[in-house]
This record gives sequence, C-alpha cells and structure tokens, in this order.
Amino acid sequence: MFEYRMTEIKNDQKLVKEFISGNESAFNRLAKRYQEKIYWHARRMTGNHLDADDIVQQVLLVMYKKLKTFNFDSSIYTWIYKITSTRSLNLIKRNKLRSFISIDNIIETRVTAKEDIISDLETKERLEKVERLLQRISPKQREVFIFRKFDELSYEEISGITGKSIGALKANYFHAFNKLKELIKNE
Amino acid sequence: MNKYDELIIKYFDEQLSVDERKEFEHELEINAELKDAFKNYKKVNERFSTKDFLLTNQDYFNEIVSRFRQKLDKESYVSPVRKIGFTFAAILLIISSYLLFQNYFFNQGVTNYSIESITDNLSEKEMNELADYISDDFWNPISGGEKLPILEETDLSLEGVIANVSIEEGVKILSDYQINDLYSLANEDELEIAYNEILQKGFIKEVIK
Repeated sequence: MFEYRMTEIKNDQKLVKEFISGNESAFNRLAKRYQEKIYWHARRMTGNHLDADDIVQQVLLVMYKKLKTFNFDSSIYTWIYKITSTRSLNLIKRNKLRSFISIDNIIETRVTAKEDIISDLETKERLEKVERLLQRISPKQREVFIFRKFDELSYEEISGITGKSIGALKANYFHAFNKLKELIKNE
Repeated sequence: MNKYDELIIKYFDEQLSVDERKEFEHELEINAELKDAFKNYKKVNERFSTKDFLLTNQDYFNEIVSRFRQKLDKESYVSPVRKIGFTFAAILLIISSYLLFQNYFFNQGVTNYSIESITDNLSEKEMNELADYISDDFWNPISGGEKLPILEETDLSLEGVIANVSIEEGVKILSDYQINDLYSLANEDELEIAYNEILQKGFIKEVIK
C-alpha cells in the first residue's frame, strides 16, 4: 500500500511539472486520475449527484488555477482532498442556510432530481440507503467516517487535510460509527 | 453506551495491535455480551464497506474533463466589468441572506438587530445548530470584526438591500473577499438578477471610476 502510494505521488508530481511547463493534456490526465475520488467523496458528503457534480467542477477549477503555484509541501492527493472537503462542507452549509431562509427550494430540488449516474435500480436503492444514513450524522462526523471508510485514509492523512487533531478525528469517527449503529438498529 | 463499544469500533477501524486483535477475537467466541454488541456494529461495517455497489455510468466520468474545459473557455470570456458586477451581486446576496436569516428569528417588528441580540435569545441547542450551520468564515470576511450595516426597516427585498448599502460600504466589503469565492456562492440565475439590479443602480460605474 505504502509503495503503491509513493508511486502515485511520483506520477502526480510528474504530471504537475508537465502541466506547469505548459502541457495542458497533463492536467487532463491528472483530473481523470482524481475525478472519481472527488466525485464520490462529494457525493457521500452531500448525498446527491447534482451537488457532487458541482463540487467536481469547482475542484477542477481550483486545481487548474492553483496548481501552477503548488509548492509540493504536501502530496497532490491530500491537497485535492483538502479542496474537495472544503468545497463539500461549504456547500452543505450553504444549502442549510438556504433551507433556513427559503431563498429557493434547493434541498427539495436536489433530492428529487432525477439526474443521476446510476441506472441499475438495485444499486441505486442500496446507494440511497447509504446516503440517507450518512445524511443523518453531522457533517464533521460524516467527513471523518467517509475519509476512513471509503477513501481509506489514515488518521494522520485526515489530520493533514482537515487540520484537526488525531484525537478529535478518532472521537468523531467513534460517534459516527455509534450513531450509524443506532440508526441501522432502528430501521 | 455499551462498555464494549470503543473496543469493537477500534477493531473495525483496525486500531488494535495484532495481540489486542487476537485477544478480542478470542473474547468474542466466549463472551455472549460482547458477541451481541458486536452483531450490531458488524451491520454498520457491512453496510458501508460494500465497494462493488458503485456500478456507475462511465459516460458521466468520461465527460467530466471535457465539460470542465468548455466551462473554462466560457469563463475566459467574462469581462472584468462583468466580474465586478457579479461580485457585487454575490455580496448583496450574502447581505440579503444575513438579513433574511435575522428575520427568521425576529419577525415581530424589531427594528435593530445585532448578532449578540440573536444569540442571547437562542437556546443552547439552537446555538449549537447555528454554530454547525454557519462557520466563522461566513461572517468574518463580511464584518471584518465590525458589525454589518444595520437597516432601520425590515425591507428584505434585493432592491431594499441595494438601497441601504452605500457604495463605500460595498467597496469595503469587496476588498475583504476573494472574487472567485464570491463568484461561486450564488448560481448564475441569482447572479444575473442581482447583476441587473446593480446595473440600474450604477454601482459598477462608481467602482471603475
């Protein structure tokens, strides 16, 4: 796992350097490498396809504009996760705020949106169940849970991304797991 | 809360050492109470560890980058003047949100509001919810440590907000923000409406003087 990640980091660095030196297709390759990770993190955080799609486009835009000043202090993948995480949390806050002040019916629109990338009914139902459960835990707990369970990041990596202490992250993960257990029990 | 909760979660989270893991698995075989508690957590682990459920339409992923490139090309045609207009539109939408949010708590004809007066009237639960929903970075860039202009009337329409925010205040607020952050706060339709309102008020003309 460690060796695999090191190889990925080196490949990423190579692509970034190519992009900085003017090779636009290097950016496309980097984007393709991370687009699914970005999408699924955002999708699990927000619970719907349209918001996740918005976030993917936003993250790519930030990557495109900021990569040229990337100083390699951290790895590209943690940097991309950092942008994805911030954008996801901001969008969740914005949607909450909108639902409070009723600027529009964004939440309803998002939930009932028919557009999705999953056509298989059984898969869709399973995913919806998972999404519904995840939406019932707080965004902070949800974030740690997703990073651990789906993105398979270590607490050290998550700490580097979120800026939170490992102790706080473990506590959030514990509460998330515990709450999900109760929710599944009461289904 | 069960006394085994932490141990079970650590087990699934792979936070136990090899020895601790062996000991836990041995205990699991002989301890009925642990076994019972373990069953419930196992369901969580099973529900969320299914990775093969992501049978997705790959067309979507194949088009992400080309859609991004199209957007990028389109964005490069936005004139600086229009960007400034959009930025003001975004600022005004934020201010509108702030005012509307105040009104959510106080709609009984109170004319002067402050953040303190809102928080003083909230229960602890509401305070926690508020803290969860609105981060410091939402308020701080706007106020810059100072209070937002307080409106004497509760005119919460976009026109009302524009009428009550001076150009100097608008410019001050603008200087505290990253243009792209503001630009991403509202959707294009909202920005377009606000932008048209601003054009009528002559904000842009004042800013680019």
